[in-house]
Amino acid sequence: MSLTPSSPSPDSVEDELELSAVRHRPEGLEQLEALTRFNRKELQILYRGFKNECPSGVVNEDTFKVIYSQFFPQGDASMYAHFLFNAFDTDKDGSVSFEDFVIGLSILLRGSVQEKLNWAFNLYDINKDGCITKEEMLDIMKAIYDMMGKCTYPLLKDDTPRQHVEIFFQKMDKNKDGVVTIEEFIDCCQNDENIMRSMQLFENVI
Amino acid sequence: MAAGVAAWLPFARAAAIGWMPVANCPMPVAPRDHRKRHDELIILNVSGRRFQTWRTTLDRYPDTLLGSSEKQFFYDEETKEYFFDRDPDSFRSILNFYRTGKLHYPRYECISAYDEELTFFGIIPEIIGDCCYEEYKDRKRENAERLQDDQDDNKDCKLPNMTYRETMWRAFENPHTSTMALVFYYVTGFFIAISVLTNVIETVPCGATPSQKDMPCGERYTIAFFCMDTACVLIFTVEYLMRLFAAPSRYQFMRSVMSIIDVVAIFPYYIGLVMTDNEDVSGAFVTLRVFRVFRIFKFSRHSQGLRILGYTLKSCASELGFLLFSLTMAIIIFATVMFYAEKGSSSTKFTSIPASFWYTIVTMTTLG
Repeated sequence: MSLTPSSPSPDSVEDELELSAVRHRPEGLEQLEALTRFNRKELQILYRGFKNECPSGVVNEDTFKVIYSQFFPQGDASMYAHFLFNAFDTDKDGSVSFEDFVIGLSILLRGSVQEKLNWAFNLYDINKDGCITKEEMLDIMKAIYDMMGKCTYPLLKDDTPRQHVEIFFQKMDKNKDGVVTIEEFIDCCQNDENIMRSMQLFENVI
Repeated sequence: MAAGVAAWLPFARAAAIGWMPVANCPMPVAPRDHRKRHDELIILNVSGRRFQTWRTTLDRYPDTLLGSSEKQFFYDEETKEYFFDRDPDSFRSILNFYRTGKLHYPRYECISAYDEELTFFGIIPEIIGDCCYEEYKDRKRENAERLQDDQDDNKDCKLPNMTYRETMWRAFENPHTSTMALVFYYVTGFFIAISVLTNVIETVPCGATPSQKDMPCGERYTIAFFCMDTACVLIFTVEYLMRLFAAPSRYQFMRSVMSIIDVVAIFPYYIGLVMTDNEDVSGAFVTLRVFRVFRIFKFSRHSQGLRILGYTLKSCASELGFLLFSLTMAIIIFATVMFYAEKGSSSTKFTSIPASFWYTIVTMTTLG
């Protein structure tokens, strides 16, 4: 990964300035082809779109939120975008480079069901400790409901997220220990028809 | 949706995995994209200069010429490119609009040429980015004003079947339209000059006989000067009435500056006619004669330079007003200071603040 700051700034307070001065160039096409399941052409199209929106080569969280909100104008997608950002940012450096982006996409669109469920678990597990607690689930649920906005049917009450979390935990938490581990999650999803069917839909997105 | 963000659609769809396991019902199927997924380069030949771009770039704005099927009309089968016989320099901005989603207005570009290009390619100018919008609006306004001025100048063309009244009005406004108008123009100019000269010479002392002390010519040759004055005022009155008759909008004519000057020029004479031999108001009458000097402003109709001076003053009226205001403020401040500074001394000329005004004004304007 070549990170070449064009103007090294000694002052660490000017984080934003530093980020915009950083130019990130991704690995060559061959390496990316090996890392992901996209072919050359698809990578080219993805990179062009990525670079168009983020000319500096990396996405920071604000840009991420802005882009994602444009797809969901009716609600407030910023919390969900925040969780998504953390899920994409695998090396936890505060920015999503093209490699992170395309590796994430590869898992989501071309990965096996196991990998996808793994990724979804990673998204829900906010503090990345290997298990989902009710509070984490509640945060995610609230973020999703915020994103959907007010135009839902039937109309949401304030404690609908909490009820939804209860239903989810009843379904997923087999040993009733208050947390959902990755094995419980994957197990339960694989046994659920609806979820399996929805997973198939991601095949032809690109 | 912004142009480039459409490329992030697969990402947005993929992110839906987040709420799938928690959804109560199965997800709906994503709509199939029937367009060709693989992109192709389009060649746009604009007067010989070849621009190339992706088809999807142009497809971002389907209600413009390049984004819709309208461009098929310009397709050349043999060279497999789209040929446009337009200005390649302007086309640069237009193509950049598709690429970046922002329309810029380059400064070197002529505003009407640019507008024409935009209209041809079906792009509305309102989407010009904030960076260039001010410039665009300013240039457009200037252009509109210039066109307006041109139209006004072009009103000289001969219009058929004008009524007698309209002909007269045109003759008054523009003396070069007919010989009669020219004659009228010069006659009125001559009489304005005579009138002003008379007013001036009236006051010159010309005592010829040694027995009488020097008295101004006006009192010596009263009858002659009175006849002169009457003749001039008669001419001016006739001119004013004729203009009033010919004016297309009489109300607007009476409100215009020139007509007010006309009225002010001839009024003192009539007032003088009405109240001669009345000792009480003769003093006021004398003051009224001062207004006769306004006849000199009637020359504005004859001199374009004077009119331009008038317009200049009018257009920078706000600046002049501010100058006057700030001067007044300074005068009041310093007059007050002077008054209170000299208050203790008994033999002072600054007996009140208004009394100090004169000193302040004279000092500030460096007259001394």
